[in-house]
Amino acid sequence: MAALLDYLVNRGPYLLFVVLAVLGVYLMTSHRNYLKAMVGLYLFQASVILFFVAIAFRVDSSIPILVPGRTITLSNPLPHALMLTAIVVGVATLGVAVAILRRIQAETGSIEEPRHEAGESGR
Amino acid sequence: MTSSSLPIVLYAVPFLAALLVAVVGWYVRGSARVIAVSAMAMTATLAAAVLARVMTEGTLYTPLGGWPPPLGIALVVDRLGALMVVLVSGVASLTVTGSLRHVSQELPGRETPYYSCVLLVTAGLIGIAVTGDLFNLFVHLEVASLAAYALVAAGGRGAPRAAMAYLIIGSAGASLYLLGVGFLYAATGTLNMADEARLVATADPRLVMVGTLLIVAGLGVKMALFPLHAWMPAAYQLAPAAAASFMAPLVTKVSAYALIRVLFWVHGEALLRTGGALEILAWAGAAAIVAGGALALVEADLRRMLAYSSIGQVGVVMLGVGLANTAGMTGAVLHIASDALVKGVLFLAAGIALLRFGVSRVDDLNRLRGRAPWTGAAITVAGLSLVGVPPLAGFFGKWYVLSGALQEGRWMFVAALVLGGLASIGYVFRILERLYFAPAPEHSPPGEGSWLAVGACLVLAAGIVLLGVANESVVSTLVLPALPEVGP
Repeated sequence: MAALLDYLVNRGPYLLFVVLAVLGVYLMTSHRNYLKAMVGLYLFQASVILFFVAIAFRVDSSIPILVPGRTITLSNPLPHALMLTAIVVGVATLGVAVAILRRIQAETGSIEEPRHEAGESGR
Repeated sequence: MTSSSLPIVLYAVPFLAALLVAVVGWYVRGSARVIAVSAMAMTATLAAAVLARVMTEGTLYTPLGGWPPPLGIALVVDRLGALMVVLVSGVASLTVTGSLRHVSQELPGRETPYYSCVLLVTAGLIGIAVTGDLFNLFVHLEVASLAAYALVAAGGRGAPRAAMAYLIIGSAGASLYLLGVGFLYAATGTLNMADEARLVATADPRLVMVGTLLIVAGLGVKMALFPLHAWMPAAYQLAPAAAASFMAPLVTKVSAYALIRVLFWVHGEALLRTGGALEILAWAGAAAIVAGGALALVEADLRRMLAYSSIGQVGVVMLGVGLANTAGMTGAVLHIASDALVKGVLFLAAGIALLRFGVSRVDDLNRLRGRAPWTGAAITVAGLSLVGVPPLAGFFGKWYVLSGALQEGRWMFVAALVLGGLASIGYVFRILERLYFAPAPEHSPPGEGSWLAVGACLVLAAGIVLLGVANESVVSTLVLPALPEVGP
């Protein structure tokens, strides 16, 4: 039991990353509804963010704020900063996606992928 | 290496102009196009200045925010990067200027957001070409891609769906790239490309290999490398003609350049040989050449045919990269440049055909016969370059890749190149046959399209001839000195 707990504490974030990524890819590829695919994409992006945050962690480390007169082990702050940018990119993507979804709905009355391909080959 | 602030100015001009267009264009009618075209011209001039300085002073180097690398982000422009920014800004200025009339015809009242997005895409592409930081590359990739999704969505019926598919697949590709960067970062603890190249040899090879394959997959999506190309034909077929003529030549090519840069500047050839990434790329490239050619051959819609052709040409580039010898790499870089020019001409001409003559299918191109001689001439030059007729630029790119394949004795790849060449003869001559030999219909609007579009087509076509004739000096001064250390 203790070994299992130990394993989960050490590897938990990576396991969660794999679960989220697989779930995201599954949602993206299995649904004809664009909004559901978008949720899948968002889960996938979240899994990548979790991965970065997980690799920033060090054993027995604290938040990276320097306090004068106290020495602490810092967790690596750089991945956190990167992920703030990645979150912003993700939000921007979501914004563009929602705007496009509204146009799709205005044009066709549905936000489902059609059964045939989107483009017309003209044949 | 010379420290210079020129690269950051080069990036800032289109980026700030995009914001300026969004604000001023909102209040002052008709100002958007003026600002956009002048910003494009300024960017092209600055790119030429960057190239001139790189030629005289060597690699330009800009540490951002006063942080010395590897802590801070650095912009690095070597000769190859300089060639890329000249190509991007040159083709972008010409296609944007050339499609001014198309925009006012296709997107009346929506010029402000259109030009804002166009400038954002340009800024993103230039950022990709000049950055020396793996994460910064991701950000620029997304700046360019998000604006590109919006440009595709601005098209007519069906375009929003194509844009949505592009967005989902494209963002998934970007996430794969980011995940790959994460693995590399976990292995080496740095994001600076030069620093990474130094540390990667001693890092955990398993992490590096997974990271490399994820980056190849992610950028493969962005460059529409077969079989990751699903988003591309519909996107470029249904986007506004103006947007397609601006994006199709550049977006996929710059992603291909980014992959070359990451693979060879960061990883180095020796490491890649063991990882299998190069072999995958070469086979995917060969498959893309055959599949792209075959799909273009049977396609009825003109712009969709051109998109399939682009898939084949990206295949040529990636086959050259996958071979990883000097000839293959030279061919890859040269082919990036030549196909950017060729697709610039052809997509602009497709825009003229659609908006002036109402032609979207290859079979209807006979409406242009005898009525648009200059457009026809530009299409012919670009088409022959696509086929690979010397001394046009397209010949030399393919030739170098072919000799690279011969050097390695890879007969399957030679066969793929020959098959792709035959397919391109087929689809290009389908266009030329309708243009010159099919009977012209009685009633059809007389005269050429807007002289701006025709002029831009002709300048780009002249660029194809020039790049072909001057290919030797381009290769020896710009490509070879900048190539990474590869085999013979």
